Amino acid sequence: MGERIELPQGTLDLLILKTVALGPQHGWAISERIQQVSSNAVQVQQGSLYPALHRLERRGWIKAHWGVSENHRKAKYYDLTRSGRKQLAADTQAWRKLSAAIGQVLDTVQEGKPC
Amino acid sequence: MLNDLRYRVRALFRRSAVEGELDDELRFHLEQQVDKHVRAGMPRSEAVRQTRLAFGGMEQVKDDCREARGLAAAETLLQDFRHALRLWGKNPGFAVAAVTAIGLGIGANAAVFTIANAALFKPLPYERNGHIVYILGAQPGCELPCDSGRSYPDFREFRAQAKSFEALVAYHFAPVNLSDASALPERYRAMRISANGFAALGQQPVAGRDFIPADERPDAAPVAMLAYAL
Repeated sequence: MGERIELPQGTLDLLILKTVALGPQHGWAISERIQQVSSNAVQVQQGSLYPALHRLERRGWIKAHWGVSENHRKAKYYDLTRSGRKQLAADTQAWRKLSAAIGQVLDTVQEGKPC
Repeated sequence: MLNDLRYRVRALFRRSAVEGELDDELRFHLEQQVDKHVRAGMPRSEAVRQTRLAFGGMEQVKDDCREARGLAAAETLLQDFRHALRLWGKNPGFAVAAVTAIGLGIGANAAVFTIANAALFKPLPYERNGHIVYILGAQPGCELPCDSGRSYPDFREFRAQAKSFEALVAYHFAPVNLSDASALPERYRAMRISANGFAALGQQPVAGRDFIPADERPDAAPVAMLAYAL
């Protein structure tokens, strides 16, 4: 397992939206998927995953339905809604802007002379 | 917005269903995680232990989910009410004392506010009440508000010369004794007022006639107006 990263506030919502955008998933699969795709760098704590899912559902960005899992068990699947798709696009853009800006600032500080 | 409301309403009123779903959802997660460990070669009991450990406090997670659903406030309130009722049942003496104390406190506040509201905040019940002013004279050696009043001749001079007012009214408290054949005399608050007093405030007597300027003449017959309370 590589080094783990603490998720900054609000980024978990973005990761969840992105993950369910690829197709309906249940909570466990969402956390597994995020972990895999981030090469184990991001590990989603269940303690924050489920509250986040319920919060996103309340906002109408994802909707839930009960289905049957691959191993024939009843599971709650989450799917992206139309407004969730909009939110994902907006959040992705905002995140890219923010991380680019932060990267820029950090690089400048490294190159400049300390006062 | 509508979605949010629908979601919350369902969460509040279909509480047992929503709670059951939450239980199912979290149990499914635990089972999946245990299966994953078992597939990786862990003994089942160890897998369950590991999974529970990683999951953290189940009740905490559920609480956070409830909060995320946006009904934590309503639920907490209900819980508090139940808790309060139970405590009352256990300790009725204290409950009575507390209710009495709060009741008295609210009552006293309400009474004081009623008086303060009538005296300080409510405007006078007259048209254009913002235009009504009270004129005081200054007196040497006495700070305002301090005025023993103006004489009637002074008032007549003011009325003749002051151009800034639509009307000038003079009054003077003069208690009177009233009696009739059947009862002892009683003392009442009464007031002498210039003939234009009620007209200036836009008030009309309910019965009879208002004072007229002729009533102010020294040789005029005495006239009086009775308040409704009398």
